This record gives sequence, structure tokens and C-alpha cells, in this order.
Amino acid sequence: MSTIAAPVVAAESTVAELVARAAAGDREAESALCQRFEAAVRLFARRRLRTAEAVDEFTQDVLLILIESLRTGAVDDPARLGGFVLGICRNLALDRVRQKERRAALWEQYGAALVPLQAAPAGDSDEVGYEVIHLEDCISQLPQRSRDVVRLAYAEARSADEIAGHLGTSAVNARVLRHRALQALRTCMSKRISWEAVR
Amino acid sequence: MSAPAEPLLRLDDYASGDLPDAEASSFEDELFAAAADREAAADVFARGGLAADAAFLDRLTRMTPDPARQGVFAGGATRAQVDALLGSPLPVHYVDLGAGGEHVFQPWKPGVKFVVARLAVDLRGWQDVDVEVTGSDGTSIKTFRDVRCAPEDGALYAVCHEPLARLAFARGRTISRIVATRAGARETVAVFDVRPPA
Repeated sequence: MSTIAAPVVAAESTVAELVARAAAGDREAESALCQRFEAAVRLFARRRLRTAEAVDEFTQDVLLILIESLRTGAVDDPARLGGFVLGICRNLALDRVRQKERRAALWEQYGAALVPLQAAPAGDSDEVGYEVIHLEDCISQLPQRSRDVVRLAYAEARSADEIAGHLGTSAVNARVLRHRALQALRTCMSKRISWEAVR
Repeated sequence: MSAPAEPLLRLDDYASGDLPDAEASSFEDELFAAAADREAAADVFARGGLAADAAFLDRLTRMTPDPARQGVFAGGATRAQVDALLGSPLPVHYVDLGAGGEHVFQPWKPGVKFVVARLAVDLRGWQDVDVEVTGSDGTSIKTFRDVRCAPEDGALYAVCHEPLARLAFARGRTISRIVATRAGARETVAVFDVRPPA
């Protein structure tokens, strides 16, 4: 479930086109660019931050700066936008204290552009989405040990050492179990929900 | 610890902190370059590649707290958990399917959030309990692995979000076999032949 609904026309555009359109005030292009980078930024944050709230806040901060950069024409080389966004991430990670002060100002100026990001995160909405029930369907097909690993690693953000402690195994084995469970879920979720698949 | 070649597993090691910093730095360059070239996310789970895998891993991380709260990882609810759900303000549809045999599932009202089915078999003392679901023609639909019975009465309480129950019954008549191990022997404990609500 994506937090930003990028229009199809924007998704088919090149990065350079989207950057040019965003600089010209096209909000859909802006949104499409944010959507492209959202997962990468969140994973960058997840490597460094523990809580879901901190990851959300970091991601918002990066995307706010990206929007600011797009609107002010600060993206000199659209072909290297990936490196540009990574640079924002690295700078923010190095300077979180100063960023907290700047955050309020950025929110005031550009926060409206991130309103879609403020929607309930995946799984929290009152209306249960297809991806959530798909995940529910896939989890139920995993053996208990794999379910434990998925819960500990992804729902509770536990390290391999912590998972190993819970399961009474080594950290190396916990990592292997995590990889296997992840691959099984990835394969399952690339197909249709099992009830639909055999029709 | 060697870094895996598969993008999904490298991403997983990266995000979990298992990828050493020296490798993580160059991996980040790859990740953000791939993100820039990424296409629309509508069918991201069906796609391959680093950006699609990143989107998958990110969504998985964000979605898993929900099934964790619902007890999906446990593989079955306890009677106390079902009672708590029934006592909550949430609209819940509860059906007791007895100890096996043929049943027509009772229809539920609009607005129901959870559907709960009680399979009244006593599975206390059984190990490695699976529920194998097939269509009426024998086509395999899915297997619920390592399901857990309620310690209070030994029954299986299947709890799922209403949209998933709706999908399941849209499939039509299903046969569910509870298969488990006791005293070293693998046995079919009960069979439920369930037709969707009329």
C-alpha cells in the first residue's frame, strides 16, 4: 500500500522530465518523485533508527527537503537525482539536532505537499486493504518458526542477535531463517491471494 | 558473514544492520539510483529488481504490526482472545462449525470487521497441526501451517479480517482437513465440508 498515489502519467515519465515539471510547479510530478524514493529513504532510516515513528519522521524530513529543492531549482543534475536524495539522507543522519529546528520551518512552508504521507500507515486504516489481507493469507502458510522470525524482525524490529535469543539459536542461523521467511513471503505476495489463485 | 547476491536479501541485511558499513555505503548508491528509475508501484509485488524489492520490504515492515496485533502470527486464537474480541465494540461474526461434517456458513451483516469460526475439535495433545484446504474437486487451495488450538477447550478459532473471509467464500465450497501428529502417527483429525453463505 503506497502512501502517495502517483498518477500513471507521472510514473511513466523519466526522472529528468519529472524534475523539470516539478520545478515548473507540477505537484503531481513532485508527488511521483517522492513516491519513487520513499521506500529507499525509509530503508536508509530503518538501518539507523529503531522506532517506526523515528523512521516516519526522518522520511518526511528528507522528502520535505527534496520538495524544497525541486521547487527552488536546486537539483542541478536530474540524471543524478538518486545521489542527490542519498546526499540529503546522509546529511540529515549526520545532523539530526540542527534538523529538528529546521523541521518546523519546513513543515510550515511545504508540509501541505506531504499530506498524503500523513494518511494512516499501511495496516492502520479502518478499512483493511488488499495487501494487508494478502499478507495475512501468506503468513498463515508459514511454519511457526518462520512466523516468529517475521514478527520479531519486521513487526518488532529486533536484531539478529535478539531473534537468536528468542529462538534459542545463533545469530547466523537467525539471519538465515529471516532470509528464508522473507523469500517465502516475497514469493507468496507476488502471486494472488490463495483463495483467488485457484479459481 | 558473506553478503547475499540476491537483491532482496542484501536489502534485508542492509536495513537490519547486518550489512557492514563499508558495503552499505556502496549499496546505498545502488539503492537510490534504482529508486530514481523505478516505475509505478501499482503492481510492485509482481515485479523484480532492487527498487521493487525495496518497496516490498518497506511495505512489509509497515504492514506487519497489524497482523501482529491481530494474533495472526500465533496461528490461532485462544478462547480468551476470542471472548475479548466478541466483547469489544468491533462488529464480529462468530460461527461454530462443530466437530466436522457438512455446514453452510451463516451469512454476516454488512459492516462486520472480523469473522471467527470455531472448529470444535479437541487438539490438545496433538502436534504439528495443519489445516489443508481444498476445493470440492480436490484442488489444493492452501495449507494453514502449525496452527495452534485454544488451551482452554482445545478448539481451533480461525480469526480473519472480513474481506479475507469474503474472498474465501467467493471461492465456493471448500473441504478443510485438520491433520496432526500424535504418538508418532500422522492422522486426519476432522474434516469440514463448508459451503458459502447463501
